[in-house]
Amino acid sequence: MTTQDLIIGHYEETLTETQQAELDSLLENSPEAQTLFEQHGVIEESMKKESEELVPPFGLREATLGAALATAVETIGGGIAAWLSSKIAITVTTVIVGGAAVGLGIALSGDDEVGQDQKTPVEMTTEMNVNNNVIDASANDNEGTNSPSAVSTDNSRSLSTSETSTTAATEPQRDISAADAAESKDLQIDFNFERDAPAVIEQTRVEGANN
Amino acid sequence: MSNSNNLTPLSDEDLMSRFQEGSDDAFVELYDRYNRRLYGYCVQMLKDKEFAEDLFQEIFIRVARKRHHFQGGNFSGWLFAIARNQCLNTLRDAVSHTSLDDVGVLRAPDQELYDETGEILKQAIEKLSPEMKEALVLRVYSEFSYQEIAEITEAKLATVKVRIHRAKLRLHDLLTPYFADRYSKQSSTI
Repeated sequence: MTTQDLIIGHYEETLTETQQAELDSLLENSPEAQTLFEQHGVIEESMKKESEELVPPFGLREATLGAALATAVETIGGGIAAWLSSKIAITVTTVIVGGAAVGLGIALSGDDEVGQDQKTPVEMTTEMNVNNNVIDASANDNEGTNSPSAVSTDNSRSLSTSETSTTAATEPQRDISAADAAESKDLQIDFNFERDAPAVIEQTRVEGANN
Repeated sequence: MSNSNNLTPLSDEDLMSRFQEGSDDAFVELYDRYNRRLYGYCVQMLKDKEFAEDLFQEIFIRVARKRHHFQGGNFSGWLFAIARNQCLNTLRDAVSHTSLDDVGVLRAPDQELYDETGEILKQAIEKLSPEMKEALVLRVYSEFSYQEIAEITEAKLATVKVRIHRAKLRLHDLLTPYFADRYSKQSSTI
């Protein structure tokens, strides 16, 4: 470290004890070091003095605080306005989009039947699976595979053995459809027109004559 | 614009938090804590009091406007980072760089010691590189630690120390003719 380094370190208060002792020794024995020390002292003192004298002028405080706090209020007002604007914009957009959707729906209402017939591939596939499963269920009806216990077993097996998602998805449908098929089978009336109609007509005529 | 004393014990960050919640008094307290340091920085960096006052005001307005951008941490660092950006923008836009180089050989005017040294010193500070000048101003006029200066200027701690050290060495070099004049005058008087 040079003498100037030590002097600057002294004024910056960054010297170690050893370095400070070294500087003290230099200052005692070297007039040049002493001169340098004084010169740096003058610089430090001047900067310190100027720093102390640099004070914001009278009136700047009120002006600055007034302007800054007014800005803060404006910011809040602006924020509220922006929030309201966004809400209004969302509402208007919703109304427009909704109206357009309703209009489109009315325009397409003439094609209702066509629309009902048009099915997505997924819907068609599901329908086919259900139909197939109804047949399967009818076939297996006597074996009792559509009992509640059988359903739960089927489901757990599907999930645990990592079968394809299609299988997993159709298994429950199959059981439900099978149950429906069985129920509708119970509700069927055993009526043959050619066989039973004359008898019914005759019975109606007799009842009318009696009355 | 009076300030309530119950805010005095609060940290800068707590005050900023209160200001974010709508307390004007908290902002006034922050202003009172930092106005001198910030003003010193502005004046020293711009070397023009009118520019400095405009900048000073603009910084506090920006702090108020951007208060919700403060996410905690060191408030003084955040404040002076804003000040620094504003200052650099102002310098970029307005300051004529020729004035920095047009300072002639420094000679001692016939004034009292510190007054004349102060005047010479101002000219000498303008001769420093922008990095050295900024580090020195933050150190001397804004009373920041090395670490804080490193954060504000986004420089390494060691770099800041070196800049300040070199700035002081350079100032001494620039003032050497002045000191020589002064000593020769003293010796001739004796």
